[in-house]
Amino acid sequence: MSEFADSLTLQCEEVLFRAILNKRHLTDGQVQADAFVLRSVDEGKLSTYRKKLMTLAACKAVFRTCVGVVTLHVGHVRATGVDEGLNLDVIGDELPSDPIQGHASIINVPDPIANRVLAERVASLLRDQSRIAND
Amino acid sequence: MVSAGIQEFPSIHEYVSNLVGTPPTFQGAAGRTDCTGELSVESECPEWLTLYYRDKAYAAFVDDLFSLYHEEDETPPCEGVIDWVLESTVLAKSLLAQNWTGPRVTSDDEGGIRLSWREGDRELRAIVPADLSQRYLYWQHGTKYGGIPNFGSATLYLGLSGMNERVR
Repeated sequence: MSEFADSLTLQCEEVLFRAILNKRHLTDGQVQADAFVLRSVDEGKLSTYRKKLMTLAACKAVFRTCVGVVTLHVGHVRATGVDEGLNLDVIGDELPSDPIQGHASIINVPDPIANRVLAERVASLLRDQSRIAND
Repeated sequence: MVSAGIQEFPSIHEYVSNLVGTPPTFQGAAGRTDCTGELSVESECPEWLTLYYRDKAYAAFVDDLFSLYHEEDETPPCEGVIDWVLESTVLAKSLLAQNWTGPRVTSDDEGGIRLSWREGDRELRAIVPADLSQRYLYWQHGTKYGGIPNFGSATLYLGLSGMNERVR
């Protein structure tokens, strides 16, 4: 059984916020693929928040250094990399230490150490489908 | 001043003094020391430093690279990574000349550096982690993509050259 089996499944229509915390990941008004490459601190999941449970301002306020926020559609994320045999998914993943609710995680993202090329490819695809969130 | 043909450029010492916020490990990237412990500038001036003073685009790239040391929330790159990146970009810059464009520079938060070039639907990313043996080049052309492990300066040049061909 998956370690995420007990987590909340999100509807494909839902919209996610992903905070961009590194100013180099958001240049000339465009988010870079680097923003979607897993880091060791990510523990195998890309952190997002559910738009229907929080405002954009609240999402920005969670982080000390948030340079921007992009949106992603859950359905599009799940369709990402299907041709390559990937199985990206989004699950509700509340963090006990989080001051706000609505945290969700993109799971099954390729690891950039174990599967370098696919990790970069998925980062490109997520970047291409993301949109800058404006107030 | 070091003489290099028709052009004179500042020594490494002058370069270091002029570089805003020079990292403490800069010596490793700038050149070797001689038996007295002094930088042997005349004999060891690295190619990237020559390029730095001769080409604004390359200078901007180098400045961007070193600024990783000073930005809040950035993990400083390992000295060996900076050295490798500087040495490996000289060939591409020299051969591509005006067709060379500086990459976007980001850190990987673990002492490594990521260089990204993008032209239309073509992309090239040079991922240089702290463990240099794990470096690789990722390329993408529309829906096609792939990776080249343990790439060197010649491969980087060929990758960038391929991106330029489409633009011409």
